[in-house]
Amino acid sequence: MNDELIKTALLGTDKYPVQTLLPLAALGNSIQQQQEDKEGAFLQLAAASFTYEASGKEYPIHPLPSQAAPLETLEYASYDFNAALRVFIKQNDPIMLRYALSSCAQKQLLVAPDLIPTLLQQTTPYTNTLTRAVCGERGGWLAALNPQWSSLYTNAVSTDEWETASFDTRKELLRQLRVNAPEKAVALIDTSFQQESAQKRLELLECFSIQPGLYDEAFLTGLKKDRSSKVKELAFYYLKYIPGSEVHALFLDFLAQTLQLQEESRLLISKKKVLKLATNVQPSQELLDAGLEKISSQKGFSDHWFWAMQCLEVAPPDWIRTHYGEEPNILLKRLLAQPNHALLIPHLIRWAIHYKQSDLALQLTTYTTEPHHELADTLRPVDAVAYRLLYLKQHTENIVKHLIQKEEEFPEALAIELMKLLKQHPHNLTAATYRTMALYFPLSLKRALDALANRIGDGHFDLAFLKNQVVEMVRILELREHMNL
Amino acid sequence: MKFTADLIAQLAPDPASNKAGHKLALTGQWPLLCANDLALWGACQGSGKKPYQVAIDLSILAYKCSCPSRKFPCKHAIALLYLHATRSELFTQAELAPFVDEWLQSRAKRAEKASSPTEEQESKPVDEAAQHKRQKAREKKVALGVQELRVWLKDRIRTGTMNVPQEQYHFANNIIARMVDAQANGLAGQLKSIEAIVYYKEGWDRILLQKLSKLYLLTEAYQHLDQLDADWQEEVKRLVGWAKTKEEVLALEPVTDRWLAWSRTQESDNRLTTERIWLYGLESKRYALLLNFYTNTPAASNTLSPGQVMEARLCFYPSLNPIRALIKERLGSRPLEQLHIEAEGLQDLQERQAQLLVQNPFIDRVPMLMANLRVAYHEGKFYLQDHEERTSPLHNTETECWMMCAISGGQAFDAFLLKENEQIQIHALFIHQQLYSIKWA
Repeated sequence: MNDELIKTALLGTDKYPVQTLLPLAALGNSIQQQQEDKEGAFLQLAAASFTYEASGKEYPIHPLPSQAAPLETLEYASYDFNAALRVFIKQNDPIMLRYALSSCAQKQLLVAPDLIPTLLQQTTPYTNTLTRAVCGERGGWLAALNPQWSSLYTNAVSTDEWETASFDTRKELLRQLRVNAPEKAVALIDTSFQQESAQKRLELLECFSIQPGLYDEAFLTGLKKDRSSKVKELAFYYLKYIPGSEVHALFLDFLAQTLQLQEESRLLISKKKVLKLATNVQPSQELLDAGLEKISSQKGFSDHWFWAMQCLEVAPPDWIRTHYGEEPNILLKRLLAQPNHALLIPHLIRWAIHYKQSDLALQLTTYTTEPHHELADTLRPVDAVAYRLLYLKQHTENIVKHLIQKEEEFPEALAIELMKLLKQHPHNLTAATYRTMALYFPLSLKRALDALANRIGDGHFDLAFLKNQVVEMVRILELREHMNL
Repeated sequence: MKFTADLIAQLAPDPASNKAGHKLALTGQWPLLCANDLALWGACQGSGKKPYQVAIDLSILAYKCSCPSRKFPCKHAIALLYLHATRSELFTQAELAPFVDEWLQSRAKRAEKASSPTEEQESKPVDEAAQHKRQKAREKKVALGVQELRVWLKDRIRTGTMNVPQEQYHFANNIIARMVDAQANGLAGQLKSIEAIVYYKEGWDRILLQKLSKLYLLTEAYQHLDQLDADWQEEVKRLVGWAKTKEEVLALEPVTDRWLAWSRTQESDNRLTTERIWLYGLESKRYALLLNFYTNTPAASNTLSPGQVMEARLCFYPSLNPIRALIKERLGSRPLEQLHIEAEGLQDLQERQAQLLVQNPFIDRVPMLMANLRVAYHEGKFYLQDHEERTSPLHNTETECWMMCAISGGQAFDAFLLKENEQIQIHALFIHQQLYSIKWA
């Protein structure tokens, strides 16, 4: 009935007069008799008809598929944390937001369900892993329902998605695949890799630094025919570190042949092991093709030492123990006792860092003239603090920025010394760095910072700058505290 | 009441004030911090010699500060809230300081004065003749305006409404202006709601005809006012634009209850913001709508938070179905404990609407608290489903619908919903002992 009325209204009563309408025909007739014109009658009838329809409406029974979200396996973050998170989202504070989500993910907690759609909507390929971690099963369930979010929760990247996405997105998809299912990454890029430009091939290949394994060997070996020397170099760089790969074996074989521990008699009574470098051994063409550099750019660095050190960089500690019958740090001491040890240092540092050997790293710290961040990261925490303190005054911003990148709380001892330094030299850090540093500053130092802010009087420009930064740090520390994770 | 960062940020007039307040919450700048059941207060050392005196009335969240800021709450009050939220141990439990006591007492006196006429007002003689003359003049204006509106409505129907979407921004401008001139603001408001129809969505033609026809019916009723009984005469005049003053409403018998705040929406039109706050009386089971109008920042009086239960006395604007109300007196606030819900199905909503329409066919909105509902996403659309599997399209925004899906996880929940112009929207849902306000501006 109302459809006819709507039609009349659209076309106009002149063009489409109102029809006799059951079940309100009697009412319609009565209205027409009382109204002065057909338009008035029509409007009154329409009002009555809509009221009649609204009064008698029945909602239809329409069973819909059951859609219950799976149960969560992790716990939810506290009420205070979620309240703080809402503030960060509302105020569009990406730094605090990322920090909050990182902290939540690290503690394996979930955000409140009402925040999930906002986080899913805002996520990018760069923040996807973090978002998935904090949104839990509910996030996955929502993503399965909403086509806009479905790609965020799949480990499989479809061919269509790969071919149509932008380069940056593809790089991030590849990176995530390396994290979640590295063996699938080769299948994804194998066919399209050679169609990319040299620079893009290099950037995609950089993703293979995540969880390299024997599943990558065939693909990486195939890149020895790549047109770009940088791509070839990088491919062989990965291969030489993959245990069990042919290239890795080549390097170790050459090391075994070149660098030898020989026993020598001393005073006809005792025997002593001495490190010897075999200078009659030449690297094979296969080894040179696999990336062994032939000549060092360092003056005075002999070829044989240069080759030996390149091979030592890829030697796992267990192999050293097995082959040389002694601990890696003993071998290191022998190498550091060599007259040309200064030339060996960069290789030894890379060796210590790659295999995360803190004992080796500690010995090597005395040979650096600038803070070597990766070396410091390899040290035990106490040693790392002591090492960084040596360079803190001259390289404050550098060290602080590196620590921020690690996204871990600053060691308290380091933080205390840092603040003492900044009291004297507040401009060693920029305002932005102070703010970001507050995200990782020890909460235990909040009261001390609070007291410092209150003690700093107004006066010199430097003091005013420091006071502002410290006040902002305290505010951020309080926000972190209130998150109550 | 527990203050959280989220709640304090909502109370702050803007993000800059919130941030400034948070920074100010440094202990060294507060030589005095006190609290009791009625209020928080403190002294905040600024750049001047004398610290600013800051106080917060906890019963209704009113703020006082001796700083020159015109923002409510100012950064000092926000800082005090943050301090209490994070370091309540710093506050000394004490009797009200003289400046706080004086302030609370003056507030109570002002509230009492506002709700009852003063001696001066009572003794002032009313010039009845002038009042009668003004009333007659207005009646004449309104009658002419109504006549003009009827001509306009008939013209639209005669020529057809097919082209209205193309003219939507100006098709009612002139007639709205004429209704304002005719002092028929109720009719002007209804015409503005016609302008606000979403003309690119399916069903605009139905909504347009519904509104035009109801408007015509109202003008018909106004033209036959003398044939209606007293209650109906009041109702029709109210709808046309004859409004009671705030003082007249506050003089009426109030309804005392614990009122749950479940929704707050804001709509802006040029420079005027209309705020609607929906309340539910936990004992009387009545619904109340608070309407506020702002030109700039919201007034300090509305400091309700979602799920907050306000003990208050409300006075309702007279109507056949009273909904709009004014707060006569706030008595305190507390968190929500439990909700007792009687309505369970969409047919209950339907029956409620039918009852209301029998009483008053001009009803265009039906609020309802309902139990055991689900939100379902099916074939690209959202539906509301009750325990009998009766289903209705859900007209919340997509963002709101996904939020409801996320909160409920597909499980049943209780909800405050509003049926307006035959469209159902959920304004708040209650699940796992927690109220989530979907619409809280």
